[in-house]
Amino acid sequence: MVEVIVGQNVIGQRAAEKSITFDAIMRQYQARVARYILRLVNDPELALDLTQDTFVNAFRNIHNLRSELALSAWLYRIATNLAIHARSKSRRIRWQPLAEYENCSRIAVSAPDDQVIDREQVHRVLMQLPRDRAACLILHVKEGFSYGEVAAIMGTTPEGARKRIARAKEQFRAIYDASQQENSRHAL
Amino acid sequence: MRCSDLGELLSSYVDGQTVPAQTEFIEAHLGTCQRCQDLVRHYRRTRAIIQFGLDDRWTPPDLGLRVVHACQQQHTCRRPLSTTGIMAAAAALVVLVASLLATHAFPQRSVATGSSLQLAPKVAARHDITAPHDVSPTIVHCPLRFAAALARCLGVSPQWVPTILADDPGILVSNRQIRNQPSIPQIRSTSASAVTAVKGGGARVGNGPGHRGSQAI
Repeated sequence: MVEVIVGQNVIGQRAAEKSITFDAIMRQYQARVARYILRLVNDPELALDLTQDTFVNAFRNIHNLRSELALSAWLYRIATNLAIHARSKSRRIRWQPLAEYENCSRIAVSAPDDQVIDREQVHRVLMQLPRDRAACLILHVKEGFSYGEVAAIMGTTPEGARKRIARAKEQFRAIYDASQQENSRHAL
Repeated sequence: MRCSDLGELLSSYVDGQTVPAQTEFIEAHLGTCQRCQDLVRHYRRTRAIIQFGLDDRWTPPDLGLRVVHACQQQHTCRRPLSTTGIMAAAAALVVLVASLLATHAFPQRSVATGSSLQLAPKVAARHDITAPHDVSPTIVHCPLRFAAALARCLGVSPQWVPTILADDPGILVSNRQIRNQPSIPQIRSTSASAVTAVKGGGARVGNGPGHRGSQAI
């Protein structure tokens, strides 16, 4: 039996092998979850608020944690629901250029094939995708979850997750290529 | 299987999410199909754009204290209601709804202005009542009037309903308000069976114990 502890207070219990504390969960996941939410909402302040809400919800519902859903997937599920809900209130979302909160002027990186990737553009394109598709794509490609785990996080079947990811990639690439061509025309 | 049917499967292959049999089939096919090789390159490139375009440069501040504080606040605010509290809230809600219904269904015959209460002339004349000073409008209770009218509609025995209410709803005043009034008017009702003088001021209306809460003047 594991006690999930915040400070000195036992806040919940679940069957497992060893003890974990809520502080440990926070330390392990808060940066990952915050970055994931930021990719969905592209507003650092809102991302921090939603990360806080994610862990507060986790704190309140840790006793409902099902054994078949790993702790990380469960946290991402809460985070995804909050971020998608926040994005649906589009008035709250404001676009903030990456360079502003990353304290860096360069926003391009090189992929292994030496092609320059415009990171700002990647973020903009992701914001144009449907919310659930963007979430599936990021969860799989960036956060490293398998189709089955993405399905558990999104509350769908592995086949549904596979289709969403495939379509999200197609849509992402179409918008990204179009915007790159647009930029090239402007540059000329 | 035709190449056009392989699109999503090739995407899964690039993601490393195909089962061994599918992987074997795709790799055998890729050896002979240039179009599918191009498609695989396209998917790999897309994956790389997303993976490297979303790098981890942003470092969020430590949220530990914020979360613990928010959790503690919620824990304090989310105390479960006691049974008494729930019952009191339910009772208050019933009274409120009944009052609203009565207000809409049966407009009051008396009008409260400022801090004094003007009795409907007809009622005042019948019962020879002088309204006490400084009677707050809040003492006007509609639920009993509503209950009386409802009982009439349902054909309930008149014993159920205060006669004075059945005849004329008049104005209902709570026991507490009457006790608090220093100069309670003497009541000389024309329907003596309905209103009985009670020691200490006020008047008890009706026969049933359920009517103790309110009184009609």
